Amino acid sequence: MAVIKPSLHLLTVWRLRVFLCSLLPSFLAAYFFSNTILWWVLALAIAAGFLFLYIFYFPVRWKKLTYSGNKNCLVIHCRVIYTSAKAVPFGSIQSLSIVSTPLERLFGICSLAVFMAGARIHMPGLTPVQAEELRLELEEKSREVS
Amino acid sequence: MKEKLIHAHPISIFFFLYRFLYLLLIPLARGIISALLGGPSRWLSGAWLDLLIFGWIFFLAYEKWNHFKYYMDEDRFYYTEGIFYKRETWISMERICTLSTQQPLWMQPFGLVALRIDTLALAPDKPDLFMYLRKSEACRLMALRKKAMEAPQDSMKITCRPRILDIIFLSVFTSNSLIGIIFIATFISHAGKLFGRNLYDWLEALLHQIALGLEAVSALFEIAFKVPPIAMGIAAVLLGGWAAAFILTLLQTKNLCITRSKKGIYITGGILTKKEYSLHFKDICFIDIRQSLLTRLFRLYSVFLNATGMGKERSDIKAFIPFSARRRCETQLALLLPEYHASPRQIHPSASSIMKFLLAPLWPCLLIPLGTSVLTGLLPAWEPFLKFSGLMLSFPAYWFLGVRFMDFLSSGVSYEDGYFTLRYSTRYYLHTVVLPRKNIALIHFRQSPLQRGRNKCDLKIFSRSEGRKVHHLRNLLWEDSVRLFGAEDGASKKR
Repeated sequence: MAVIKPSLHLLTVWRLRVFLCSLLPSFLAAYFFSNTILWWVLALAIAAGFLFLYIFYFPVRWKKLTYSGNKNCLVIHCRVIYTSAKAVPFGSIQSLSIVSTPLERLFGICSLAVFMAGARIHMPGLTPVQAEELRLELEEKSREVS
Repeated sequence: MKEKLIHAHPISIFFFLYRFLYLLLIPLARGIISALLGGPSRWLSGAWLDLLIFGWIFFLAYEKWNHFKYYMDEDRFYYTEGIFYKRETWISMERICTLSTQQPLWMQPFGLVALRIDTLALAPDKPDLFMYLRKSEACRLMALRKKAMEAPQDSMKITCRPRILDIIFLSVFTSNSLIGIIFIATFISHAGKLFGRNLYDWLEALLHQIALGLEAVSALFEIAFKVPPIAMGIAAVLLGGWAAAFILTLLQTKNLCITRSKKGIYITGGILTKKEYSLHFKDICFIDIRQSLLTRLFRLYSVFLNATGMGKERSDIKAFIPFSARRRCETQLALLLPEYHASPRQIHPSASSIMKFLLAPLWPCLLIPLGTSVLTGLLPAWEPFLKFSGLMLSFPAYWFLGVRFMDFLSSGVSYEDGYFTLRYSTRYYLHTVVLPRKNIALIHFRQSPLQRGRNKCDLKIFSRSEGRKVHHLRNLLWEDSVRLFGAEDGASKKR
């Protein structure tokens, strides 16, 4: 199984998502504490958090995220501060589904959800073609093993 | 087949009632509106509506029972249900992981038995089907299941009855005081409702007498050993709770009998609540050889079985082999589940990993005595209480330290003949889990920034089990772990 890198659009989706999420606390801070020191503190904290995620966290997270595999299992490398690898034995796969949020659809990407008895994982940032190919491949390997 | 359909026990009508209790909101709303607008006369004039709703609730419960019918043979279990939305379900006998019956004390006079069917499908916290049956009918279904589970030439049939001493040991070591305290509190609070005011008054008087006795004993202790009365009180509550939990566990597990055939396992036991479980061998998720610090020191072992449908309820039998000495435990396990044997460790944490195990329990071990001495200096009037509290808090902290030290000495992972053996600890227990490779759902290798330099990682193994189960092993070498679980890939090499 070849190593798959998620689409670069995923980075944009994450950034947009955190931007949208930061709007509500910014609005609440401005509404309740405008022109006070607390507003400045909160505004700076939100801006610092946003910039940290935008410039450092998401690019590293995207860089580290890879999907690969061997003859036994699907392997996903992820996480930023903690280095993480998740291995899913093909035999344990119960079902697969392709899911996409409106934001993901806007950028032409989707996620593949893999369900096991006792756990589940999401593989974001795949193009619909990639997701469909991967789904078929995983289904076939799961059938072969069981 | 449809002409052979059978109804559940008519008592089920009463259990179906609760599903329609929400309809009582209508009389309640009507009562409130009447009280606000017109008073009792207005409420009385519309009482027919309340009676109609009561009647409707009973009618719906009856219809629910009337529409619930089932049929079982050696190949499948079929049931149909639903008044308005009808549903027919077929469950293949091969797909039934556990078929179990329970007969608590209150059901025995009615000849009633609760039957539970569990498969891998549907929600893990609820059985696929739960119903009440006559005892004779439940026995018939169990016999059918047994027949279906036995291979035509089933030469393998082993029965094992643990000794009463093993069950007493199990009750002693696994009884949780808190459960006992909750049980006593529930019993006392419900005693008045269940048995009438007289018994409740008698119980209250008895507890008062016990309290007076304890007061006298604590006064004696205070004079003799300078033990504060509060300590005696807490100790008495814990001891009472533990004794109640001990009796409860003993009654739940007494008469335990395990029979292994080629395809399945059949477990019976319990005195107050009689239980029977029939489960497929292939549906056993894993076995857990569990030890506390005390049992590790006494070299006692107990084996718990994790299978879909077993251990769903608190009252279920969980111990497969109660506490026994090592050799006896191994012999019983080899007889009943020869496939499941713990293999020697192949990967284990290195000596330098000791702090990874001891750091978490070390903080409370240092901070509690330090905090106690600081507070004693600041509040000298509270000295006896603070010293006692400090001692009580230190005890579980040091116990935890001991468990983690034992975990450091014994933890690790190995693989042999399709089975992984995982050795780790959770809170105050040390686990040796034997898990078939096919039951692993996800392996999570996690490396903290501190572990990166030494190339160590923590392993979290998610397994197929009753409920969600994660086995957490600490500080193993990344490469060795990845190799053992067969999770090498192109991306790992580049890492």
